[in-house]
Amino acid sequence: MSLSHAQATQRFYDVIWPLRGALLRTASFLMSPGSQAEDLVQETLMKAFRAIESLDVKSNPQAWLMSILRNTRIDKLRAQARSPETVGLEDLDVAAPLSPPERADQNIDPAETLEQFSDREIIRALQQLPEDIRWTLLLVDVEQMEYEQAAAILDIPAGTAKSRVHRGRMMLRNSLLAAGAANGEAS
Amino acid sequence: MNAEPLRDEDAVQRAVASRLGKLRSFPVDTSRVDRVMRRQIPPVAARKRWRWMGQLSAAAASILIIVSLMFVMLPGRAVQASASEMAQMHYDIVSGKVPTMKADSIQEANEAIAAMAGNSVRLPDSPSAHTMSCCMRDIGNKKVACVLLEDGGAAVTMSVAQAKDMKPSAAPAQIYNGITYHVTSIGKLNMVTVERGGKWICLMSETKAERLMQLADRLKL
Repeated sequence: MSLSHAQATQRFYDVIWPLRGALLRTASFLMSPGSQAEDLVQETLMKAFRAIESLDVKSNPQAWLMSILRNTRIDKLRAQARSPETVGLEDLDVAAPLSPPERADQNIDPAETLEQFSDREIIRALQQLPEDIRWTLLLVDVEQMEYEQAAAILDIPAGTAKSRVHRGRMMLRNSLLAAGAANGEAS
Repeated sequence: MNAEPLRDEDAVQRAVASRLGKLRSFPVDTSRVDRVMRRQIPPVAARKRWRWMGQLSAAAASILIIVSLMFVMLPGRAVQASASEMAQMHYDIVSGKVPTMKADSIQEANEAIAAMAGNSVRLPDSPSAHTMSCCMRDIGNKKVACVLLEDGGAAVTMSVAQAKDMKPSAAPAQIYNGITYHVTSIGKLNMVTVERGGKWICLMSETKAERLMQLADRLKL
């Protein structure tokens, strides 16, 4: 049975509307500063509204919405004659997990070290990672989704999602430490 | 094989995951998206939703609502801010569920709030915390100015109203630096309320209640 316009609107405001903050946050972290995260979110929300009948309200609406966000992002990039930056795991220039930059003090608690970076510094470092890695970290670590759920959104096997998260965390940490070391040298 | 590096690697993995998890409470300003979307998809008017209820029940409900509103809106009637209501407000602001305006200082927040509601209460300056965003909320029929602060890495919401508009808190009292605070907790959140300079001030955060009292103590009224 198809929904009337009023019913579709109601479902949109009941189910999708409360998720717009998370959607905008993901888009803002995903895209480089100055890019049009709000436009991407608006386009995603419009697509979600048009497809609201296909949403199974008993499923995870956030995962559904994130899939639309990702597809919209890919469409936009293709329209700009670019494809999202993809990276093969073998191509990742990840320092060996236990070879962080020279200046990192191995004795410092890693959690303590990371707390020294502000949210904005962490976001900036995140935005420098390859897009596939960034997406996986955003879904698994920021939005706290299960690997299987994130993998379904990204259309990859769960094992690949796990590898990306593992490598992405190391890349992020190393990039932060390198930036911290560079700042230390500069000052 | 040395097992030590693997333990270190696990610790790094956990630390990064935990640090990234904190970004979930990073505030976002949805006001522009909200404005555009509400224009493109106008919300269903309440009367349409009630069609199914039948005219009689809708009329009865309307009368009940009007009577309730008249009762609640009697001038001078102070309202009670429950811990659950304040916790919901905190989470809504922190998660970006409610529109907020970016503000880099309390002065900016006060200007934004004055633009939204001209005669609203002014937020006291909080020199030790970083200001992030602000908004106006309602508790009962009373306007409350809210600001999201970052204090030592923790998200803190400060809500401020005229003291005469709010009923005194029933939470247990604690004295800090000669000032009486009412302290309670709900879930992971601690809530500290105080009346100072004719203002009702409520601080909420996952940080310790003592830390919130210190923060409140340093406010410049």
